[in-house]
Amino acid sequence: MKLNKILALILAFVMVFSFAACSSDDGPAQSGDGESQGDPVTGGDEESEGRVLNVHVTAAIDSIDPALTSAGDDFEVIGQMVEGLFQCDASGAAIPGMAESYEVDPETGTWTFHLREAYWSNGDPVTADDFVYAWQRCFTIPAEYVFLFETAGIKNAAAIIAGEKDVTELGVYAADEKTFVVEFDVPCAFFDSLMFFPVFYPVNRAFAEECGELYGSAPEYYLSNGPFALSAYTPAATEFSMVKNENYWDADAVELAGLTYKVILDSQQAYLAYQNNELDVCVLSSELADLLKSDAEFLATESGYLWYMSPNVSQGGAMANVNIRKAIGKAFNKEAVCNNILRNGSVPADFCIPIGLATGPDGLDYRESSGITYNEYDVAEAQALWADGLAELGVDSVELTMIFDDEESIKLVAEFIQQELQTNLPGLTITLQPYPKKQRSDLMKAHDYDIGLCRWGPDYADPLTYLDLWTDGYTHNYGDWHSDAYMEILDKIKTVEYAVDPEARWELIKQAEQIIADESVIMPVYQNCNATLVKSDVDGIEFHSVGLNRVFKNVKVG
Amino acid sequence: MKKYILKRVLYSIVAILVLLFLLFLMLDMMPGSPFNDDKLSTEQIEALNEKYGLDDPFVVQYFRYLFSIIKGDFGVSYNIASNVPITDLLETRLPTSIRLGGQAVLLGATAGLILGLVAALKHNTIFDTIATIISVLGVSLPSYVFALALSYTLGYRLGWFPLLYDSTSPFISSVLPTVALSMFSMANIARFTRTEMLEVLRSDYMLLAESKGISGPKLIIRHALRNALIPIITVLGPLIVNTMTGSLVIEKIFSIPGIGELMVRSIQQNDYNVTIALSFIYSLMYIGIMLVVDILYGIIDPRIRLSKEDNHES
Repeated sequence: MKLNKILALILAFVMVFSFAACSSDDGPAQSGDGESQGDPVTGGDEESEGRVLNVHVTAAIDSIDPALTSAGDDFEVIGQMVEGLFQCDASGAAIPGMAESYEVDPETGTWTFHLREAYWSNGDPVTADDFVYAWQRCFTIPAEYVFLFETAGIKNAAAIIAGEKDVTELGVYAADEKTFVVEFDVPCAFFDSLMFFPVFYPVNRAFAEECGELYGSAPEYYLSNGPFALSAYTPAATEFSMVKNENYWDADAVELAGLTYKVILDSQQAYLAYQNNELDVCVLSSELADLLKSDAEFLATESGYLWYMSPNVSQGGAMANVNIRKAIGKAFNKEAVCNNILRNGSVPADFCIPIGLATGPDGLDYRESSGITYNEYDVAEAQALWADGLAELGVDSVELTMIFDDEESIKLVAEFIQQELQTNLPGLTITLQPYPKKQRSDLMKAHDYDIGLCRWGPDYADPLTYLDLWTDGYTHNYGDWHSDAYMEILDKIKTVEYAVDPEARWELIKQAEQIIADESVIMPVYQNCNATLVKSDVDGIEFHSVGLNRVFKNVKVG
Repeated sequence: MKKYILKRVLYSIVAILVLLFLLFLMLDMMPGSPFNDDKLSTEQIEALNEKYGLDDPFVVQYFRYLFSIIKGDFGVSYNIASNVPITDLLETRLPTSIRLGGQAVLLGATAGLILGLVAALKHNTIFDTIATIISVLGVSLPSYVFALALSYTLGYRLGWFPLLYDSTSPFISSVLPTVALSMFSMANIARFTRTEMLEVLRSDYMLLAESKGISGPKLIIRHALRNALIPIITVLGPLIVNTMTGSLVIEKIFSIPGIGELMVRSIQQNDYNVTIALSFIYSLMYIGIMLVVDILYGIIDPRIRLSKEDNHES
């Protein structure tokens, strides 16, 4: 009996203490003991010159392998460490990166890049073969963004994706160690700005082949040729760090000693941490953005995401009627959506190509030079169009179901639109139907819906990333809308003739946009904004609405 | 005794197998897929499904998974950390969660015991009332309320502790999450200790001990507390499990790289392999702890063991 009691006590003891005990010897990879650290609250400051910037990111990073990522945050992180042929300046325009100079053959459209004297963080030179390897690798993995090679019109890319040709037939080759040549099926007018995207970044062939599947899983399995080099990282980490890459060709321009990314899902905690100086850059939720919008450190930056309602034209009926579509597009208050519901600085959208997406040959933002707007909020006009539409259809009431992603903020927007439309358009009944994102997207791709509230984020800095949405057979032409005139213009835009004539191309793009506006192919709602707090002594963070969201290379502190 | 333990272990294994099957079935029925990026073409999704064997029939997938789990291979993550083996993900995260949970249980058990003792010994005084209020709050308020309150006061207002977990100073940065997480078990243990102690203190053998001249700490600790502890140990098991699963929210708030945070994300992103692996680990913990409790019951209370043993066996 006595033995049993002792045994019981031992077991109880083990139960309680085993959890604590087993962690003490095999805890997570840590550089030092907890107690040896200085003041935990000030965190980032280092004794060496320069400062480590603590940056908030709201979602964890899926991967830092340029070929494996698909999320905007991943792009941003990779973009701090790896540099492609071009990089973007503060305004989002393309400036030479790894390419010191380049020539474009006016006849064939072939680009020849002359790479600069640049080195990887392990001291290897960056060679043309690194680009050949990295680009071919995107097809073999395959990368989610491999379609950008097709968009770019690179020779045989489309055929390789379709499985008709081997990846070795991709139209890229290394003429010599420092000369990289890209051939085209169809030359691309915005090829330079496509080069910001990680799928086009170089990968050191010898190093990556040695790492195999481990590439990008830890600092020792990753190389950078950009401003920062990875110093601490584990897959799906909630915190990871980079240090200034002394091997970077433009290292003199980099003032920061490093970057620490902190993944914080709880925005309130992130804000408190920002107040506590544990963060230098903090992304705000809409509630906090509303509360803090008059703060001196508050910053609202446009993101390229356009939220819109997509009418399903393919099923005929009410949604196939232009007047009905216009009436619905005009009958709800977009200002109220932005200012009363979202409250994060988002702007009402009366356009189908967002602000800050692309800079034209005239040096102006596309939105400024196009000036085409439609579906402005106007209840009286909406009601007149509505009456016309009903008369054309020969009915006096319309019932529609609106589908959207099952998320709180989206739901609020949908409810508001429902209420506005039902009040302003007599005879209209809208039923709301939330779905998980994937299911909503599947239904819309199958053209099995009436109206869908959805968004589109740009894949590259050119209006075509939106205009393509309404072309025949495109997966995301949800409503299956079709116009011969529109297809004709779009086909023209993609020809060699216009690729080399940016002014004429820009005019064609405006014509295409005009058709979308006249036909009200989509009903735009708003363009998303990101609200951020940045410490007042931090200057020079470059925000972009497409490609790399934030660039820290030129940050000055002081 | 041996047979009793063997039986318990067998039950646990069956429970794990059934559980794994149910998990697999439920995930199979869940809408969506791990590859839910809008930009993926149908062909790409098909290719990815084929690559990971997600286009195979359910039964094939299940048995393949079962065999690889037996070999200790949980597969790779689909989208949380593309292509990274889940064992690699767990390597750094599991110890973090376990340490946090361990610290919280340790703190909760110690503080709860003291609180309960004080309440029982100073029965019907102001101490008792305060202890009771604390335990009622601890039981009824969810841990994230404490997490927010602690963050605001000790972290933000006073600046004593960092608000975010920092792997380079794991102790100081885990103080707030540990305290927040320990509240529930502390409150529960305090309540149990108080009730049990009151009962023991009123019992005849305490009177006997006292009349034999034993007094002071020796009386309380050796005679009262020791007897009161037995029922407390039995509630400790479920409490440990509660604490571990409670860390889902705490890990999210303090941005702690643990398995709770990973679990939430894997569910949201349909990363089946990660969800199953983590549910499996949680279940393993639960079943393991329950097994220990079961065995403890048998040892502490021979009646349970005897009633289940066959009579013709010795």
